[in-house]
Amino acid sequence: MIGRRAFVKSIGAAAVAPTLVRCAEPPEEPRGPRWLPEAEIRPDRSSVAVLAAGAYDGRLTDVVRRGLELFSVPVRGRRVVLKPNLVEFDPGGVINTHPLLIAATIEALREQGAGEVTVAEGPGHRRDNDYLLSASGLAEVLRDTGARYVDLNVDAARPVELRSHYTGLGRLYLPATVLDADLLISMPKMKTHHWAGVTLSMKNLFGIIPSAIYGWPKNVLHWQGIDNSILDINAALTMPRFNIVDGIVGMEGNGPIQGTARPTGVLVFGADPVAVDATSATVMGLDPTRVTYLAQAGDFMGNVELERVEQRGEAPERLRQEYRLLEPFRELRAGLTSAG
Amino acid sequence: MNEALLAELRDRRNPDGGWPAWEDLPSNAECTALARMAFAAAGPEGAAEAAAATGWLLRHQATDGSWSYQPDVPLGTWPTSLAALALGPQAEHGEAVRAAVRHIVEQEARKLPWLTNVLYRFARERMSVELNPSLNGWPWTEGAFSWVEPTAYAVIALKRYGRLAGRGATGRLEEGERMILDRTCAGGGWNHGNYRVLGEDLEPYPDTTAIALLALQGAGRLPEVEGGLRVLDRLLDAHASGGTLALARLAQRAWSVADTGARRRLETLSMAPDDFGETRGIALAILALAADGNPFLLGNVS
Repeated sequence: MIGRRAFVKSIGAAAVAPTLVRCAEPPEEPRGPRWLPEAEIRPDRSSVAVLAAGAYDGRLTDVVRRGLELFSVPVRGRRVVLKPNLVEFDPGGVINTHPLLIAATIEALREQGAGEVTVAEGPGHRRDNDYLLSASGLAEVLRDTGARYVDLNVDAARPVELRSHYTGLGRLYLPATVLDADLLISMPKMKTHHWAGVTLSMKNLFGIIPSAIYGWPKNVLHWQGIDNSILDINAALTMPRFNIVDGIVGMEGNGPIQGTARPTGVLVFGADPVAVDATSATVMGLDPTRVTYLAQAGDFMGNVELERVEQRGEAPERLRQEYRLLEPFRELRAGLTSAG
Repeated sequence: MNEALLAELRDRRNPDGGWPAWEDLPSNAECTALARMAFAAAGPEGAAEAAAATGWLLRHQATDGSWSYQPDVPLGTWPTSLAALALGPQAEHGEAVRAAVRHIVEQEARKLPWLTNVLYRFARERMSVELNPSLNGWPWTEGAFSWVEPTAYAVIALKRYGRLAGRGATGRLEEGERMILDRTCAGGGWNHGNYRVLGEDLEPYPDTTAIALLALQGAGRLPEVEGGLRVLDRLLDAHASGGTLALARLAQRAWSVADTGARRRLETLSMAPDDFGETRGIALAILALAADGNPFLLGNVS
């Protein structure tokens, strides 16, 4: 395995040899505040629950039910949109949110009176949703549960004025299925990410960007910077949100596609995506304040410092693992000094 | 002509005369262009729908000659190539297609800073994403990088109608072909456009491989073409979606490769047209199963 830095450093040109996917120079630093006052929604304190879940089996519904109940998630009569991570398929890999977790969540939401549960995703690389759904096993879940699936890549899009200015785009076209949701539940896989460090609840929402407008991969946003795009997308969404991170088996190393499985045995629940991701990063053995977009989101969107996060389940430090990181992200490791 | 698929495609038409990706969605330029191709290939029995699609496309062409995927969103202009292919330069919409072809020739993908290009030139195998960024293909939308699928559509459109734009078309389509060849995956075939990242090979996709093979018609039996055809055959075992099978069959026909089962699988799927999937796939399947009248098959055009 060769780390990204090995490539870049080996030609002695770290400053000018970013990748094509991450190749853009960061947009010029905008003058003035980087978010509008209405985007400043960070609560004084947030709550997260890390719940043990040993396997993808029939007991998952109980765990999800408990996770939802811990937060009194308002679902009765609501149109709920589940946004899993379904980016690619590798028969030997663990790229995607497990379909049995999606099935368990659908069941738990319906038990609690959800009006409609829709599964929605805009895969970033592949256009062939039929293939991804059937290969990943999600098609079977959709068939068994009768839940609707929406390909966000081709959904009707509406303009949304951005409430933060990290990308400088000013506006994004976002899918109506997401914008019209009464409750959006981000359901990422717990993974390392070879450009962003980690991909969790916030990064997962990259998938709502309609590729028919922005391309496969969502290239326009890559040019504006992945961290910047994560911040602008998340700050733009005003509907109630919840997050369930699939950390039963995560991915370490060269995620989000080519990493390796890391059994971790947890699900992470919470309404504040920054706090959920900060907690998940801690479980992965990382310092969330060193993940660029999480640290920036912690300025206005949610709580990244764990001192401001009430843990309603297991203590994340107790479940902490050491996810393997690519060389450029070694500095994210919790406990390292900045020189380490 | 597959009557069941034609009927299903007819049912999916929106009141505005265009076609959506799925029922209950607004019409978009890609599906409407593909629907026009499919109904035009059906001859007189598809004439009314082809005319409706033509009307929709002409009403939604932007003043710069482009079509964006969703008419009220000024991004995602990649369907311009498909719309030009669908309309063709018949007298009644010749100017629309000329404007589209001019737009295709003039549209450039985003380029990297010159120094980065130099680094790629001299240390390509050590870059984190290993490809030749100096080759200018086509983006999905203005301001983005070149990717395989939009480049392939543009190359096909220019091979058919590039003469309408004058000399500039030939150079662009040749560079587009080189860009597609550059993005070939290690074991053959194509994915969205990154074949090697951080030292690891990425896998090809059958649908993108088929589209790239269609674009390379007339380029000769290059090793990349042979490899792509082999990969396509292998990948189809695991892919059952109608759209992908249709693209594969089109590519096989373009390269005079015997049917290895795609046609039969398409015909089986067409027995339950409700379940066929995206509108795009239905239109492509009609084209793949049609005897002739197919704008994707270039024949003697080069």
